[in-house]
Amino acid sequence: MIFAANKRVTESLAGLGRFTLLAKETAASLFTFKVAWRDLIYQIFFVGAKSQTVVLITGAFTGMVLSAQTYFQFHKVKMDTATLAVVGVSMCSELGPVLTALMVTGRVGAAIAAELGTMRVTEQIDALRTLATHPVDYLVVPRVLAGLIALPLLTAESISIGIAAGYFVGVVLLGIDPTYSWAHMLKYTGDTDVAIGLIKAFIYGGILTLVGCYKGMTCGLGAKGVGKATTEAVVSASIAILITNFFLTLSLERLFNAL
Amino acid sequence: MIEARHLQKRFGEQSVLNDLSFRIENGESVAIIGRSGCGKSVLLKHLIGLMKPDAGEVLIDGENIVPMDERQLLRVRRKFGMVFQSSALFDSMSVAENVAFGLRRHEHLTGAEIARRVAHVLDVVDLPGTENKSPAELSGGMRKRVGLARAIVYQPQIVLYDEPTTGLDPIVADSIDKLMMRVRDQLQVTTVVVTHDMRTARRVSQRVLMMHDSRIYASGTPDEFFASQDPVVRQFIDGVADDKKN
Repeated sequence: MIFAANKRVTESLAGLGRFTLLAKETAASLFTFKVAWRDLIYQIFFVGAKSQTVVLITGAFTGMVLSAQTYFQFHKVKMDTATLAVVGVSMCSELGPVLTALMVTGRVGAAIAAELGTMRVTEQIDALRTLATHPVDYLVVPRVLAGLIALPLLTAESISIGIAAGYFVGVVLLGIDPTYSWAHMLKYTGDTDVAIGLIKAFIYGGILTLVGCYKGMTCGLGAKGVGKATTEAVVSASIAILITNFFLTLSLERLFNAL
Repeated sequence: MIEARHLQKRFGEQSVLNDLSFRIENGESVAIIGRSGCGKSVLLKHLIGLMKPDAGEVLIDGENIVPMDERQLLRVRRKFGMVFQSSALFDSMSVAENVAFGLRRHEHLTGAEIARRVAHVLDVVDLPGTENKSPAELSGGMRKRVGLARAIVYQPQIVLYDEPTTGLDPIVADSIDKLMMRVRDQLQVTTVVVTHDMRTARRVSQRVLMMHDSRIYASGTPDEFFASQDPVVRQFIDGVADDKKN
Protein backbone atom coordinates (compact mmCIF):
# COMPACT_ATOMS: atom_id res chain seq x y z
CA MET A 1 0.00 0.00 0.00
CA ILE A 2 2.85 2.38 0.90
CA PHE A 3 4.58 1.35 -2.31
CA ALA A 4 1.45 2.15 -4.33
CA ALA A 5 1.05 5.55 -2.65
CA ASN A 6 4.71 6.30 -3.22
CA LYS A 7 4.38 5.37 -6.88
CA ARG A 8 1.32 7.59 -7.26
CA VAL A 9 3.06 10.58 -5.67
CA THR A 10 6.13 10.04 -7.86
CA GLU A 11 3.99 9.84 -11.00
CA SER A 12 2.10 13.00 -10.02
CA LEU A 13 5.33 14.91 -9.45
CA ALA A 14 6.76 13.61 -12.73
CA GLY A 15 3.58 14.75 -14.51
CA LEU A 16 3.86 18.18 -12.93
CA GLY A 17 7.47 18.34 -14.10
CA ARG A 18 6.48 17.42 -17.67
CA PHE A 19 3.70 20.03 -17.63
CA THR A 20 6.17 22.67 -16.43
CA LEU A 21 8.59 21.76 -19.21
CA LEU A 22 5.78 22.04 -21.77
CA ALA A 23 4.83 25.44 -20.35
CA LYS A 24 8.46 26.56 -20.53
CA GLU A 25 8.86 25.31 -24.10
CA THR A 26 5.60 27.03 -25.08
CA ALA A 27 6.65 30.32 -23.49
CA ALA A 28 10.02 30.16 -25.25
CA SER A 29 8.33 29.37 -28.55
CA LEU A 30 5.77 32.18 -28.12
CA PHE A 31 8.56 34.73 -27.99
CA THR A 32 10.80 33.31 -30.70
CA PHE A 33 8.62 31.44 -33.15
CA LYS A 34 7.03 33.15 -36.12
CA VAL A 35 3.35 32.41 -35.57
CA ALA A 36 1.46 30.71 -38.39
CA TRP A 37 -1.30 33.30 -38.77
CA ARG A 38 -3.66 30.97 -40.58
CA ASP A 39 -3.55 28.44 -37.73
CA LEU A 40 -3.85 31.16 -35.11
CA ILE A 41 -6.89 32.74 -36.75
CA TYR A 42 -8.57 29.35 -37.07
CA GLN A 43 -7.89 28.62 -33.38
CA ILE A 44 -9.23 32.03 -32.31
CA PHE A 45 -12.34 31.25 -34.35
CA PHE A 46 -12.60 27.83 -32.72
CA VAL A 47 -11.95 28.98 -29.14
CA GLY A 48 -13.70 32.36 -29.39
CA ALA A 49 -16.38 32.54 -32.05
CA LYS A 50 -17.62 28.99 -31.55
CA SER A 51 -17.94 29.48 -27.78
CA GLN A 52 -20.37 32.38 -28.18
CA THR A 53 -23.57 30.51 -27.43
CA VAL A 54 -22.35 28.79 -24.29
CA VAL A 55 -20.74 31.97 -22.94
CA LEU A 56 -23.78 34.16 -23.63
CA ILE A 57 -26.19 31.72 -22.01
CA THR A 58 -23.91 31.24 -18.99
CA GLY A 59 -23.36 34.98 -18.55
CA ALA A 60 -27.01 35.90 -18.97
CA PHE A 61 -28.45 33.35 -16.57
CA THR A 62 -25.71 33.92 -13.99
CA GLY A 63 -26.46 37.67 -14.02
CA MET A 64 -30.19 37.01 -13.79
CA VAL A 65 -30.05 34.58 -10.87
CA LEU A 66 -27.49 36.72 -9.06
CA SER A 67 -29.71 39.77 -9.43
CA ALA A 68 -32.81 37.93 -8.23
CA GLN A 69 -31.12 36.29 -5.25
CA THR A 70 -29.37 39.49 -4.18
CA TYR A 71 -32.64 41.41 -4.45
CA PHE A 72 -34.48 38.85 -2.29
CA GLN A 73 -31.93 39.25 0.49
CA PHE A 74 -31.37 43.01 0.20
CA HIS A 75 -35.09 43.71 0.05
CA LYS A 76 -35.37 42.48 3.64
CA VAL A 77 -33.09 45.31 4.80
CA LYS A 78 -34.39 47.93 2.34
CA MET A 79 -31.24 47.93 0.22
CA ASP A 80 -32.91 47.12 -3.10
CA THR A 81 -30.94 49.66 -5.08
CA ALA A 82 -27.61 48.05 -4.10
CA THR A 83 -28.57 44.93 -6.04
CA LEU A 84 -26.92 45.91 -9.33
CA ALA A 85 -23.76 47.00 -7.52
CA VAL A 86 -23.36 43.44 -6.23
CA VAL A 87 -24.12 42.05 -9.68
CA GLY A 88 -21.57 44.36 -11.30
CA VAL A 89 -18.71 43.64 -8.92
CA SER A 90 -19.38 39.89 -8.83
CA MET A 91 -19.71 39.54 -12.57
CA CYS A 92 -16.60 41.62 -13.32
CA SER A 93 -14.12 40.20 -10.87
CA GLU A 94 -15.33 36.66 -10.09
CA LEU A 95 -18.29 35.06 -11.83
CA GLY A 96 -17.61 36.43 -15.32
CA PRO A 97 -14.03 35.17 -15.68
CA VAL A 98 -14.41 31.96 -13.65
CA LEU A 99 -17.67 30.70 -15.16
CA THR A 100 -16.58 31.65 -18.68
CA ALA A 101 -13.31 29.79 -18.19
CA LEU A 102 -15.06 26.72 -16.78
CA MET A 103 -17.56 26.60 -19.65
CA VAL A 104 -14.84 27.09 -22.27
CA THR A 105 -12.79 24.39 -20.55
CA GLY A 106 -15.67 21.96 -21.04
CA ARG A 107 -15.91 22.78 -24.71
CA VAL A 108 -12.43 23.76 -25.85
CA GLY A 109 -10.14 22.03 -23.33
CA ALA A 110 -11.85 18.71 -24.00
CA ALA A 111 -11.75 19.22 -27.78
CA ILE A 112 -8.05 20.09 -27.73
CA ALA A 113 -7.22 17.03 -25.61
CA ALA A 114 -9.28 14.74 -27.87
CA GLU A 115 -7.82 16.14 -31.09
CA LEU A 116 -4.19 16.03 -29.96
CA GLY A 117 -4.73 12.68 -28.25
CA THR A 118 -6.06 11.20 -31.48
CA MET A 119 -3.10 12.69 -33.35
CA ARG A 120 -0.78 11.05 -30.85
CA VAL A 121 -2.27 7.56 -31.02
CA THR A 122 -2.41 7.66 -34.84
CA GLU A 123 1.27 8.71 -34.99
CA GLN A 124 0.41 12.08 -36.54
CA ILE A 125 2.49 13.88 -33.90
CA ASP A 126 5.45 11.61 -34.69
CA ALA A 127 4.86 12.39 -38.38
CA LEU A 128 5.07 16.10 -37.57
CA ARG A 129 8.38 15.53 -35.84
CA THR A 130 9.79 13.58 -38.79
CA LEU A 131 8.79 16.52 -41.00
CA ALA A 132 11.16 18.65 -38.91
CA THR A 133 8.31 20.45 -37.17
CA HIS A 134 8.27 20.93 -33.42
CA PRO A 135 4.85 19.87 -32.06
CA VAL A 136 4.89 22.73 -29.56
CA ASP A 137 5.40 25.29 -32.34
CA TYR A 138 2.75 23.83 -34.60
CA LEU A 139 0.13 22.48 -32.19
CA VAL A 140 0.50 24.11 -28.80
CA VAL A 141 1.47 27.72 -29.53
CA PRO A 142 -1.51 28.61 -31.79
CA ARG A 143 -3.95 27.06 -29.32
CA VAL A 144 -2.48 28.72 -26.23
CA LEU A 145 -2.21 32.06 -28.01
CA ALA A 146 -5.83 31.74 -29.14
CA GLY A 147 -6.85 31.03 -25.53
CA LEU A 148 -4.92 34.06 -24.26
CA ILE A 149 -6.62 36.31 -26.83
CA ALA A 150 -10.13 34.84 -26.85
CA LEU A 151 -10.81 34.36 -23.13
CA PRO A 152 -10.61 38.06 -22.15
CA LEU A 153 -12.94 38.90 -25.06
CA LEU A 154 -15.38 36.16 -24.13
CA THR A 155 -15.24 37.23 -20.49
CA ALA A 156 -15.95 40.86 -21.40
CA GLU A 157 -18.93 39.61 -23.37
CA SER A 158 -20.09 37.43 -20.48
CA ILE A 159 -19.76 40.32 -17.99
CA SER A 160 -21.71 42.66 -20.27
CA ILE A 161 -24.55 40.26 -20.94
CA GLY A 162 -24.63 39.25 -17.25
CA ILE A 163 -25.02 42.84 -16.07
CA ALA A 164 -27.59 43.58 -18.78
CA ALA A 165 -29.59 40.49 -17.83
CA GLY A 166 -29.28 41.37 -14.12
CA TYR A 167 -30.54 44.88 -14.87
CA PHE A 168 -33.49 43.45 -16.78
CA VAL A 169 -34.46 41.11 -13.93
CA GLY A 170 -33.93 43.73 -11.22
CA VAL A 171 -35.55 46.70 -12.88
CA VAL A 172 -38.16 45.22 -15.21
CA LEU A 173 -39.23 42.09 -13.35
CA LEU A 174 -38.59 42.98 -9.71
CA GLY A 175 -39.26 46.74 -9.90
CA ILE A 176 -36.04 48.18 -8.46
CA ASP A 177 -35.58 51.90 -9.08
CA PRO A 178 -33.45 52.11 -12.27
CA THR A 179 -31.73 55.44 -11.64
CA TYR A 180 -30.46 54.69 -8.13
CA SER A 181 -29.53 51.13 -9.07
CA TRP A 182 -27.50 52.25 -12.05
CA ALA A 183 -25.79 55.02 -10.07
CA HIS A 184 -24.87 52.62 -7.26
CA MET A 185 -23.54 50.07 -9.70
CA LEU A 186 -21.27 52.64 -11.35
CA LYS A 187 -20.15 53.88 -7.95
CA TYR A 188 -19.12 50.50 -6.58
CA THR A 189 -17.97 48.75 -9.74
CA GLY A 190 -14.60 50.27 -10.58
CA ASP A 191 -12.06 49.94 -13.38
CA THR A 192 -10.12 47.72 -11.01
CA ASP A 193 -12.87 45.10 -10.98
CA VAL A 194 -12.96 45.01 -14.76
CA ALA A 195 -9.16 44.87 -14.97
CA ILE A 196 -8.99 42.02 -12.42
CA GLY A 197 -11.61 40.08 -14.39
CA LEU A 198 -9.78 40.47 -17.69
CA ILE A 199 -6.37 39.61 -16.19
CA LYS A 200 -7.88 36.48 -14.67
CA ALA A 201 -9.47 35.56 -18.01
CA PHE A 202 -6.12 35.96 -19.77
CA ILE A 203 -4.48 33.58 -17.28
CA TYR A 204 -7.35 31.05 -17.45
CA GLY A 205 -7.14 31.09 -21.25
CA GLY A 206 -3.53 29.98 -20.95
CA ILE A 207 -4.30 27.34 -18.30
CA LEU A 208 -7.21 25.63 -20.06
CA THR A 209 -5.49 25.44 -23.47
CA LEU A 210 -2.14 24.37 -22.06
CA VAL A 211 -3.71 21.65 -19.89
CA GLY A 212 -5.73 20.44 -22.91
CA CYS A 213 -2.56 20.30 -25.04
CA TYR A 214 -0.58 18.54 -22.31
CA LYS A 215 -3.22 15.90 -21.68
CA GLY A 216 -3.64 15.27 -25.41
CA MET A 217 0.06 15.05 -26.18
CA THR A 218 0.76 12.68 -23.30
CA CYS A 219 -2.36 10.52 -23.55
CA GLY A 220 -2.29 6.75 -23.32
CA LEU A 221 -2.77 4.43 -26.26
CA GLY A 222 -6.07 3.61 -27.95
CA ALA A 223 -9.59 4.98 -27.61
CA LYS A 224 -9.45 4.45 -23.85
CA GLY A 225 -6.36 6.65 -23.60
CA VAL A 226 -7.97 9.44 -25.60
CA GLY A 227 -11.16 9.27 -23.51
CA LYS A 228 -9.19 9.38 -20.27
CA ALA A 229 -7.09 12.32 -21.50
CA THR A 230 -10.23 14.25 -22.44
CA THR A 231 -11.82 13.73 -19.03
CA GLU A 232 -8.59 14.56 -17.22
CA ALA A 233 -8.13 17.73 -19.27
CA VAL A 234 -11.51 19.08 -18.17
CA VAL A 235 -11.15 18.02 -14.52
CA SER A 236 -7.54 19.18 -14.13
CA ALA A 237 -8.05 22.52 -15.89
CA SER A 238 -11.25 23.22 -13.90
CA ILE A 239 -9.54 22.50 -10.59
CA ALA A 240 -6.48 24.52 -11.60
CA ILE A 241 -8.72 27.47 -12.53
CA LEU A 242 -10.62 27.36 -9.23
CA ILE A 243 -7.46 27.13 -7.14
CA THR A 244 -5.70 29.81 -9.17
CA ASN A 245 -8.76 32.05 -8.80
CA PHE A 246 -8.36 32.17 -5.03
CA PHE A 247 -4.73 33.21 -5.20
CA LEU A 248 -5.36 35.68 -8.03
CA THR A 249 -8.19 37.31 -6.08
CA LEU A 250 -5.93 37.84 -3.08
CA SER A 251 -2.88 38.99 -5.01
CA LEU A 252 -4.60 41.17 -7.61
CA GLU A 253 -6.77 42.96 -5.04
CA ARG A 254 -3.69 43.74 -2.98
CA LEU A 255 -1.71 44.74 -6.04
CA PHE A 256 -4.36 47.17 -7.29
CA ASN A 257 -4.91 48.57 -3.80
CA ALA A 258 -1.20 49.25 -3.52
CA LEU A 259 -1.08 51.07 -6.84
CA MET B 1 25.70 7.47 -43.25
CA ILE B 2 23.74 5.97 -40.37
CA GLU B 3 25.54 4.21 -37.54
CA ALA B 4 24.13 2.69 -34.37
CA ARG B 5 26.64 1.92 -31.61
CA HIS B 6 25.85 -0.35 -28.68
CA LEU B 7 22.20 0.71 -28.44
CA GLN B 8 20.29 -0.37 -25.37
CA LYS B 9 16.62 0.16 -24.70
CA ARG B 10 14.34 -1.31 -22.07
CA PHE B 11 10.63 -0.91 -21.43
CA GLY B 12 10.30 -1.83 -17.77
CA GLU B 13 11.67 -5.33 -17.36
CA GLN B 14 11.68 -6.05 -21.09
CA SER B 15 14.89 -5.48 -23.01
CA VAL B 16 14.11 -4.42 -26.61
CA LEU B 17 17.54 -3.38 -27.85
CA ASN B 18 20.60 -4.94 -26.26
CA ASP B 19 24.09 -3.80 -27.32
CA LEU B 20 22.88 -3.41 -30.87
CA SER B 21 25.30 -2.01 -33.47
CA PHE B 22 25.30 -1.63 -37.26
CA ARG B 23 26.26 0.79 -39.98
CA ILE B 24 24.45 1.81 -43.19
CA GLU B 25 26.41 3.61 -45.90
CA ASN B 26 25.10 6.49 -48.00
CA GLY B 27 22.94 5.30 -50.88
CA GLU B 28 22.67 1.80 -49.43
CA SER B 29 19.33 0.02 -49.24
CA VAL B 30 18.87 -2.06 -46.11
CA ALA B 31 15.98 -4.14 -44.82
CA ILE B 32 15.61 -4.82 -41.10
CA ILE B 33 13.65 -8.02 -40.59
CA GLY B 34 12.53 -9.93 -37.55
CA ARG B 35 9.49 -11.36 -35.85
CA SER B 36 6.61 -9.15 -34.80
CA GLY B 37 7.36 -7.39 -31.54
CA CYS B 38 11.12 -7.94 -31.74
CA GLY B 39 11.84 -4.19 -31.71
CA LYS B 40 12.27 -3.33 -35.40
CA SER B 41 10.01 -0.27 -35.30
CA VAL B 42 11.57 0.84 -32.01
CA LEU B 43 14.98 0.64 -33.67
CA LEU B 44 13.74 2.68 -36.66
CA LYS B 45 12.39 5.37 -34.32
CA HIS B 46 15.80 5.58 -32.66
CA LEU B 47 17.44 6.31 -36.02
CA ILE B 48 15.39 9.50 -36.49
CA GLY B 49 15.38 10.54 -32.84
CA LEU B 50 11.71 9.80 -32.13
CA MET B 51 12.95 7.63 -29.28
CA LYS B 52 16.06 7.90 -27.13
CA PRO B 53 18.13 4.86 -26.16
CA ASP B 54 18.98 4.13 -22.53
CA ALA B 55 22.59 3.82 -23.66
CA GLY B 56 24.55 3.91 -26.89
CA GLU B 57 24.90 6.30 -29.82
CA VAL B 58 23.14 6.98 -33.11
CA LEU B 59 25.33 8.78 -35.60
CA ILE B 60 23.87 10.51 -38.66
CA ASP B 61 26.67 11.60 -41.00
CA GLY B 62 29.04 11.30 -38.03
CA GLU B 63 26.90 13.42 -35.68
CA ASN B 64 25.60 11.77 -32.51
CA ILE B 65 21.89 12.63 -32.24
CA VAL B 66 21.26 10.99 -28.85
CA PRO B 67 22.21 14.01 -26.67
CA MET B 68 20.31 16.45 -28.91
CA ASP B 69 17.08 18.04 -27.67
CA GLU B 70 13.91 18.15 -29.78
CA ARG B 71 14.76 21.51 -31.32
CA GLN B 72 18.30 20.49 -32.27
CA LEU B 73 16.93 17.31 -33.83
CA LEU B 74 14.77 19.31 -36.25
CA ARG B 75 17.87 20.19 -38.30
CA VAL B 76 18.95 16.53 -38.52
CA ARG B 77 15.44 15.33 -39.38
CA ARG B 78 15.40 17.43 -42.54
CA LYS B 79 17.71 14.76 -43.97
CA PHE B 80 14.99 12.16 -43.41
CA GLY B 81 11.67 11.16 -44.87
CA MET B 82 9.65 8.57 -43.00
CA VAL B 83 6.73 6.41 -44.11
CA PHE B 84 4.68 5.14 -41.17
CA GLN B 85 3.01 1.77 -40.81
CA SER B 86 -0.32 3.54 -40.25
CA SER B 87 0.54 6.17 -42.91
CA ALA B 88 -0.02 8.85 -40.21
CA LEU B 89 -1.58 11.30 -42.67
CA PHE B 90 -2.92 14.50 -41.13
CA ASP B 91 -6.64 13.78 -41.28
CA SER B 92 -7.66 17.44 -41.05
CA MET B 93 -5.83 18.19 -44.32
CA SER B 94 -6.33 17.27 -47.96
CA VAL B 95 -3.85 15.06 -49.82
CA ALA B 96 -2.19 18.14 -51.35
CA GLU B 97 -1.88 19.84 -47.95
CA ASN B 98 -0.39 16.67 -46.47
CA VAL B 99 2.19 16.37 -49.23
CA ALA B 100 2.99 20.10 -49.23
CA PHE B 101 3.38 20.25 -45.43
CA GLY B 102 7.19 20.01 -45.35
CA LEU B 103 7.56 22.41 -48.29
CA ARG B 104 5.33 25.05 -46.71
CA ARG B 105 7.09 24.82 -43.37
CA HIS B 106 10.69 24.85 -44.51
CA GLU B 107 11.09 26.15 -48.04
CA HIS B 108 10.28 29.60 -49.34
CA LEU B 109 8.37 28.64 -52.45
CA THR B 110 5.49 30.30 -54.25
CA GLY B 111 2.06 28.68 -54.15
CA ALA B 112 2.40 27.76 -57.82
CA GLU B 113 5.79 26.11 -57.28
CA ILE B 114 4.45 24.13 -54.31
CA ALA B 115 1.44 23.01 -56.36
CA ARG B 116 3.78 21.96 -59.20
CA ARG B 117 6.00 19.91 -56.90
CA VAL B 118 3.04 18.30 -55.18
CA ALA B 119 1.54 17.33 -58.55
CA HIS B 120 4.90 15.95 -59.66
CA VAL B 121 5.45 13.82 -56.57
CA LEU B 122 1.86 12.53 -56.66
CA ASP B 123 2.56 11.52 -60.24
CA VAL B 124 5.69 9.66 -59.06
CA VAL B 125 3.59 7.65 -56.60
CA ASP B 126 0.91 6.98 -59.25
CA LEU B 127 -1.76 9.14 -57.65
CA PRO B 128 -2.21 12.02 -60.11
CA GLY B 129 -5.25 14.21 -59.62
CA THR B 130 -5.90 13.25 -55.98
CA GLU B 131 -4.82 16.60 -54.54
CA ASN B 132 -8.24 17.57 -53.20
CA LYS B 133 -9.20 14.23 -51.70
CA SER B 134 -9.22 13.80 -47.94
CA PRO B 135 -7.23 10.94 -46.34
CA ALA B 136 -10.52 9.35 -45.22
CA GLU B 137 -11.47 8.83 -48.87
CA LEU B 138 -8.33 6.82 -49.65
CA SER B 139 -7.69 3.08 -49.49
CA GLY B 140 -4.84 1.64 -47.39
CA GLY B 141 -2.51 1.39 -50.38
CA MET B 142 -3.30 4.93 -51.51
CA ARG B 143 -2.65 6.25 -48.02
CA LYS B 144 0.77 4.56 -48.02
CA ARG B 145 1.52 6.22 -51.36
CA VAL B 146 0.51 9.64 -50.08
CA GLY B 147 2.67 9.01 -47.00
CA LEU B 148 5.58 8.23 -49.31
CA ALA B 149 4.88 11.32 -51.44
CA ARG B 150 4.92 13.43 -48.27
CA ALA B 151 8.21 11.85 -47.21
CA ILE B 152 10.05 12.40 -50.50
CA VAL B 153 8.65 15.73 -51.70
CA TYR B 154 11.49 17.75 -50.15
CA GLN B 155 14.09 15.33 -51.48
CA PRO B 156 15.55 13.84 -48.28
CA GLN B 157 18.84 11.92 -48.22
CA ILE B 158 17.41 9.04 -46.20
CA VAL B 159 13.96 7.40 -46.42
CA LEU B 160 12.75 5.18 -43.57
CA TYR B 161 9.86 2.77 -44.14
CA ASP B 162 8.04 1.22 -41.19
CA GLU B 163 6.24 -1.95 -42.33
CA PRO B 164 5.28 -0.45 -45.71
CA THR B 165 3.35 -3.47 -46.97
CA THR B 166 1.71 -4.69 -43.76
CA GLY B 167 -2.06 -5.00 -44.08
CA LEU B 168 -2.10 -4.68 -47.88
CA ASP B 169 -3.21 -7.32 -50.35
CA PRO B 170 -0.40 -8.98 -52.40
CA ILE B 171 -1.06 -6.93 -55.52
CA VAL B 172 -1.03 -3.58 -53.71
CA ALA B 173 2.00 -4.75 -51.69
CA ASP B 174 3.75 -5.53 -54.98
CA SER B 175 3.00 -2.04 -56.29
CA ILE B 176 4.39 -0.50 -53.08
CA ASP B 177 7.56 -2.62 -53.46
CA LYS B 178 7.99 -1.37 -57.02
CA LEU B 179 7.38 2.19 -55.88
CA MET B 180 10.06 1.90 -53.18
CA MET B 181 12.51 0.54 -55.76
CA ARG B 182 11.66 3.38 -58.14
CA VAL B 183 12.16 6.01 -55.41
CA ARG B 184 15.44 4.36 -54.38
CA ASP B 185 16.79 4.35 -57.93
CA GLN B 186 15.46 7.71 -59.12
CA LEU B 187 16.31 9.75 -56.02
CA GLN B 188 19.46 7.80 -55.04
CA VAL B 189 18.41 7.89 -51.40
CA THR B 190 19.59 5.75 -48.51
CA THR B 191 16.72 3.38 -47.79
CA VAL B 192 15.94 1.60 -44.53
CA VAL B 193 12.93 -0.71 -44.61
CA VAL B 194 11.57 -2.38 -41.49
CA THR B 195 9.48 -5.35 -42.55
CA HIS B 196 8.61 -8.94 -41.81
CA ASP B 197 7.66 -9.48 -45.44
CA MET B 198 10.56 -11.47 -46.92
CA ARG B 199 9.49 -10.70 -50.47
CA THR B 200 9.75 -6.96 -49.80
CA ALA B 201 13.10 -7.41 -48.08
CA ARG B 202 14.45 -9.41 -51.00
CA ARG B 203 13.29 -7.02 -53.70
CA VAL B 204 14.02 -3.65 -52.11
CA SER B 205 17.24 -4.18 -50.18
CA GLN B 206 20.88 -4.77 -51.01
CA ARG B 207 21.53 -5.97 -47.47
CA VAL B 208 19.34 -7.56 -44.82
CA LEU B 209 19.77 -7.22 -41.05
CA MET B 210 17.86 -9.69 -38.94
CA MET B 211 16.88 -8.78 -35.37
CA HIS B 212 16.53 -11.55 -32.84
CA ASP B 213 16.84 -11.53 -29.05
CA SER B 214 17.16 -7.71 -28.98
CA ARG B 215 20.23 -7.60 -31.21
CA ILE B 216 21.33 -7.94 -34.84
CA TYR B 217 21.43 -11.69 -35.18
CA ALA B 218 22.50 -11.95 -38.83
CA SER B 219 23.51 -9.70 -41.69
CA GLY B 220 23.97 -10.43 -45.38
CA THR B 221 22.65 -10.03 -48.89
CA PRO B 222 19.10 -11.20 -49.55
CA ASP B 223 20.44 -14.21 -51.50
CA GLU B 224 22.70 -15.18 -48.58
CA PHE B 225 19.70 -15.02 -46.27
CA PHE B 226 17.56 -17.22 -48.46
CA ALA B 227 20.41 -19.74 -48.72
CA SER B 228 21.17 -19.66 -44.99
CA GLN B 229 20.98 -22.90 -43.01
CA ASP B 230 21.01 -21.15 -39.63
CA PRO B 231 17.95 -22.53 -37.77
CA VAL B 232 16.71 -19.12 -36.54
CA VAL B 233 17.04 -17.51 -39.97
CA ARG B 234 15.59 -20.57 -41.65
CA GLN B 235 12.60 -20.65 -39.32
CA PHE B 236 11.82 -16.99 -40.07
CA ILE B 237 12.20 -17.36 -43.84
CA ASP B 238 10.14 -20.53 -43.97
CA GLY B 239 7.56 -19.06 -41.60
CA VAL B 240 7.45 -22.02 -39.22
CA ALA B 241 6.03 -21.47 -35.75
CA ASP B 242 7.51 -23.12 -32.66
CA ASP B 243 5.75 -26.38 -31.80
CA LYS B 244 4.81 -25.15 -28.35
CA LYS B 245 2.92 -22.23 -29.93
CA ASN B 246 0.88 -24.41 -32.27
